[in-house]
Amino acid sequence: MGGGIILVPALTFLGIDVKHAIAASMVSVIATSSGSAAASLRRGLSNVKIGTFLQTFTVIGGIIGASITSRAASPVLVLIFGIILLISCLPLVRKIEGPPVAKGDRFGRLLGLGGTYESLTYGSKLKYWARRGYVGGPLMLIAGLLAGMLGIGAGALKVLILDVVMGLPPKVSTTTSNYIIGITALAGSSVYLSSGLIVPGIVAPTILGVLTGSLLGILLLVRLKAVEIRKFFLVLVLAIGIWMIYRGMDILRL
Amino acid sequence: MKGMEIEAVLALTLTVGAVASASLITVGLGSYYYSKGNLSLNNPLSAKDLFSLLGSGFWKLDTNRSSPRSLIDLGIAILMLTPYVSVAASTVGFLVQKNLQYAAMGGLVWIILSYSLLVR
Repeated sequence: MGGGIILVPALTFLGIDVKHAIAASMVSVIATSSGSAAASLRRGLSNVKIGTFLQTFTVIGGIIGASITSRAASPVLVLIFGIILLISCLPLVRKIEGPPVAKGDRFGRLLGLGGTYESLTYGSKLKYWARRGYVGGPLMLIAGLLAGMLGIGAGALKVLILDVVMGLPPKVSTTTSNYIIGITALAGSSVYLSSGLIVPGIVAPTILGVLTGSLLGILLLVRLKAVEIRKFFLVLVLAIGIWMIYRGMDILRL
Repeated sequence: MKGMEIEAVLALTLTVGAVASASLITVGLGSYYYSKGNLSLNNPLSAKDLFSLLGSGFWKLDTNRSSPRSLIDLGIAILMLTPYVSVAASTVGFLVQKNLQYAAMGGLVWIILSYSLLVR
């Protein structure tokens, strides 16, 4: 996770305008992505080729999304944010590792969209292939658009596309998504920088906060069970999503 | 840069960028609070593109004109520079591996980012 789905509601709850909150979150997503992607790249889990292929779509989406936000009305953004939060819950209710796609389709083989990973479930190094890259790519444009628009990594949506559409193993999809979100976040941040929405008084403490939080998260992760963490976030994200929809509708008087 | 080496170079780039940025922001925020007694940094970043922000930050450091605010701005700029450099590094890595298909994709991402960071 980039942390944006928690950060934007938290900053708006503190009275910060949603556009400034989104811009601050977008920059801080670069920080969380840099930390987590560095660790997974070192362990050879992120697939740089698949990441590079999908970045060509997400950066365009990120720029378009951030451009929409810099012109959109704040209450509409709050409402959209809530809806996307509820959709983000979907990946939290699945996550069962099935056998990887053993044979890639023509498109995947043509681009070499495959690799190997160490599977704890199957206890060995397994070869995998991405399938339906021609669908996954354009869908990533939408994920990038939402990321840039809402100042989030849209990691949940990206993982969903990588898992369900492209058939990647959960570990590879999560780590590859972490690698992509930082580059998408830069695309969005560039628009917020030129729009004058990046305020150091909000952004600087947020960056330090998310970096400290991600380090604490890694320490906590080894002590907590994955199921407990998933349940906790499911309830948290659901509650924030409903609150944001209620807030957006309240401001819009719907 | 061959095989696993691209991943190692990218991991190093991201780590160095995040640590350098966090260090500058920590020093900047600490000295700002020490000198002013608050953290009211309410003015947005003045530069409209990343490279002006970086240029101004490094120039102030080089000419001993840096202030707590300029250190914070430079820290944010370095964080934003990190993924930009990682895209350039992966493109060079693919070129060294003679993987022109991926070098072209990385190059395309780099051009789009450059356009967005410079031309807007």
